[in-house]
Amino acid sequence: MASSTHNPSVLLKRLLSLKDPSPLYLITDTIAHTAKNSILNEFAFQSVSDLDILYVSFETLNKPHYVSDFVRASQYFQSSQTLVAEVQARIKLLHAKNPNAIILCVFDNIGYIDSSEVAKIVQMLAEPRVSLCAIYHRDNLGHVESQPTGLKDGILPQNVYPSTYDLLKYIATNVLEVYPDVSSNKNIEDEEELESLVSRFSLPKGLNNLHSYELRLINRRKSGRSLKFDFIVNTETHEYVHKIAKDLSSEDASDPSFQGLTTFNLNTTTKQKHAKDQVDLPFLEAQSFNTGGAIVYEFEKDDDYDEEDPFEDPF
Amino acid sequence: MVQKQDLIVFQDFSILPNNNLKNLVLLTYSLGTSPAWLIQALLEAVIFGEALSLNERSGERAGFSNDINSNDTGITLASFVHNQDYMEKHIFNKLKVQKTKSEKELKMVDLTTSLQIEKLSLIVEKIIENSNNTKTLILEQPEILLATMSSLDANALNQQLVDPLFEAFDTVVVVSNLDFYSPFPRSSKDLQFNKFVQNVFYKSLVNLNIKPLSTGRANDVTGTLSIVKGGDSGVNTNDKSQNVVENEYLFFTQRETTKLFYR
Repeated sequence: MASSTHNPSVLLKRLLSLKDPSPLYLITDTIAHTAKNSILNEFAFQSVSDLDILYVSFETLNKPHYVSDFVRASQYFQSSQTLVAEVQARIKLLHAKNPNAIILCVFDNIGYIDSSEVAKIVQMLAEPRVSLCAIYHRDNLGHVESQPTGLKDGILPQNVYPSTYDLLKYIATNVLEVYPDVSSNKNIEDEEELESLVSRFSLPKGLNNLHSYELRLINRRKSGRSLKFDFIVNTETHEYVHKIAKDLSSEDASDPSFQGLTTFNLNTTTKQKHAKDQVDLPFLEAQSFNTGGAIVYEFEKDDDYDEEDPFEDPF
Repeated sequence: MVQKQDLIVFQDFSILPNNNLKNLVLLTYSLGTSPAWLIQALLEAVIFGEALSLNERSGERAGFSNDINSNDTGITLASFVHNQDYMEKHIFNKLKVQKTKSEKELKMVDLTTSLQIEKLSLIVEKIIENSNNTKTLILEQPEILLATMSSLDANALNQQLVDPLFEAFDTVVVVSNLDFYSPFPRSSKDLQFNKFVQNVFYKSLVNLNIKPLSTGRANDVTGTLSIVKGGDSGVNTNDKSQNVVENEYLFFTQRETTKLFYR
């Protein structure tokens, strides 16, 4: 395997410090662990002296401490053209200040920009010493099943055009996906529970303030090959531990005797096995019952005692 | 006896953020557990400096002279669900502040008549005009506009209503009802509602979520209040005093007071 010859965490470090220039980073997050609480700080931590971060914010109004220049996009919501013009002017200013600097232009939630304009904006801002970094919230993606598609009155409905997420995922050179670190969170048992809680917007403790999270990196090379790595990132020590993906077949613990027997899935996963082991079977309790088959009857207040019953119990 | 606990949201024991930044707080609730007691506690936190209606502390009100003011910033309550009359009867009267003081520090904006408005900027103007330069705003259920204005989507509501208010006030508390939040959205309205709440969460420093008891009903507990960190990181990483203390409380609402217990 070619990808095993180099170290994934070194690659991640190089990408975060922009030593390997990459024109477009796409960061995707969910409410379970947001980019602002995670990966953006790593860009700041790994940054070298010749890096300026230009932050185009649709969300926060507070300028983060690691940022060189800050644009409040809410002032330009009427037209994306004026926003792009403003960003271009700011980039020029930063270049004038330090001609050698690499500029990382962060779009904090590109979802606010209409999908039909995203590709154009990316194209307009692409420059040799500028890297774009678009944040997208994965949970904003929703699938509405019963929506009619197709031509209506000769007008192409909007949902035919690819979404911002699809577009960016297609053109991004590096995709960084942020996931909560379920295994080190004491308040959640497993991913299933987390998913059900998050889908009802009932967030458990210790999601966004946990000091570690999972990061999936998809690195697309010039050759066309794309590499995928999972990391556990610690925000306090800034360590990136490469998580080797568990082989699904070993997880399944499949019994070879079931092979080809039926079309049903007779195998049990480790999780199912674990759940099965935890069930207390009823007959085990019955065996520990040591009165030896006696009828245990407790006389209660409302019971009437029939004195003439010849077969009555001796007590 | 179970020990009652003070409501603490931030590490410096405050309930609302106390920094020189712009802050957003997301308060979510679902039907069956009204957030009225928490809204009242937030109002008190600004007006008296402490939440007096919690844990039967109203007796201590004497200690808080009406002249002494914790911070001269005041608070505005703008509601899409409660009209002026309701707010005066159920919120103002419960606060028991002197009328002169309240005129300065507590402003109420009745937005129930603004639901059919065509431009969101008119609502923003109305709130800012009536706020009398108070620095904190509680905005009750802006998501209703998604249902009343047919062409409105979540992004527009965020950009044209929440953002301008976020700029105008230091702290904005957005109160949202989660009954419209659907795990499996079936229409684009569902989707827009989910998106609105999610995107307010991404902006927020802290999320206060009120839920009914998952086990049903109990005589001595009304529901749970969970405090979790929001999607925004806050800016100054060295200032630990503004870190969110994540916690889960049980609360019990009675006629005049609400008691809090640690879970």
